[in-house]
Amino acid sequence: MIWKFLWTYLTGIFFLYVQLLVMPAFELAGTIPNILVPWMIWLIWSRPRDMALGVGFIVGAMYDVTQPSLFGLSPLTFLLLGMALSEFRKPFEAESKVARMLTLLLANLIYHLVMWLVLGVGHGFTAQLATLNLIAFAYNLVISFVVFWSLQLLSRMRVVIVSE
Amino acid sequence: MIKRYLVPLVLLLVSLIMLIGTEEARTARADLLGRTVFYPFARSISAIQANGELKKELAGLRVQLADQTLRNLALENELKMFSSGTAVAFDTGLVDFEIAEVIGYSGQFQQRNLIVNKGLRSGLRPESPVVSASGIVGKVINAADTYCVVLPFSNPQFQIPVMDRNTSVQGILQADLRGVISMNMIKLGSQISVGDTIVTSNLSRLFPKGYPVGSVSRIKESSDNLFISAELNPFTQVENLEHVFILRKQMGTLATPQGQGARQQ
Repeated sequence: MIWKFLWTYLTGIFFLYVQLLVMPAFELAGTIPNILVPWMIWLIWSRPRDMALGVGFIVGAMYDVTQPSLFGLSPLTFLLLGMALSEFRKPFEAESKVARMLTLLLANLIYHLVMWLVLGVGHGFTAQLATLNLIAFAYNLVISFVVFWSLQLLSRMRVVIVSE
Repeated sequence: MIKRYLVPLVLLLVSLIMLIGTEEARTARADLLGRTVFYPFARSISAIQANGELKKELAGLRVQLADQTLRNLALENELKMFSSGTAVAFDTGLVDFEIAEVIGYSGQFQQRNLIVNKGLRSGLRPESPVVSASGIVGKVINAADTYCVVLPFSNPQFQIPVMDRNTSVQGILQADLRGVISMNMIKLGSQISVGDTIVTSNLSRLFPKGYPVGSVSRIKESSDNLFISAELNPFTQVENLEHVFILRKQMGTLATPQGQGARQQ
């Protein structure tokens, strides 16, 4: 259990570094895609809920250390995402691909809704903010699909040693 | 039920505590965590980002350096063209000339004269000035039908008035028996320095004014302490010449290099 937690935490750290150092290169219309969202979805689908929430919270807090003006927002968002997704996926089968796709959609919707609310309270609910948020939602959704299915593929890979 | 949602509730509470307060308070909390619990992470991220920014700056500076180097090279080339042009380029003005090939020598050592393959039939006369592509060579002292003898400036018998191109300080070009070319009879206190270009003087009745002669390599006082003497590095190496240009006088006079229809050599 501890090893699994540690391994999950390390993957989270890896994704955090990628998010901070690599993803700014993929900026589109002022939007830097957040790959921590698909990573959080993958965590909810592949790890026990409390472990996923705990690791997501820590990684979210670390992420916010680099953007201190909104310190606490990422842990809260990841927590809400984790809770919502873990409740949402319950009626579905464990291997349901449709359910996974729907969670991707839902997670991005919640994430951008929270962002829209927070930025709207801070800077006003303008049409420009709504437009940018929609662009960011679409862009993040595409990135989330790619990252999430890549993670799914990688997590199912096994090293098989055959001795003749 | 409570036990099931205990972890999410605790985390929710903590995240709300982190989030509440003013922006300054949140920044202070983030700063505290960055300096304590998450210090390795925060430090590594800032170090990597600073490294990336420095690399970008370095790349920009390299581009600037390359650009500046290219500009410097272009300027150096311009300077070289200008300085070499002023040092060895000359124009013949309205002076016509004959190209002649050096076919032999007469005399010994520094008193050696050149024999060229053009003579009276080519319209050459004694006292015709002789130049090369680099500067002056000497003058014709004896002309036959098909050849003539040229007295080079390296011969001690050759003397012409010359001057500093920049300051117009006048002197006499002479060579001694050792082969050292000097500009003598320079008035004491004249403005002349090592590296100056020496050209033919406006006082010369043989050469047009401004033909390059050489550059000053050393300055010394004469033995009687009345004049300055400047040793020269001549632009033309007489002993290596294959072809020379023998100038022909037109309309009884030699034009200055500033004349119309100038011809660059």
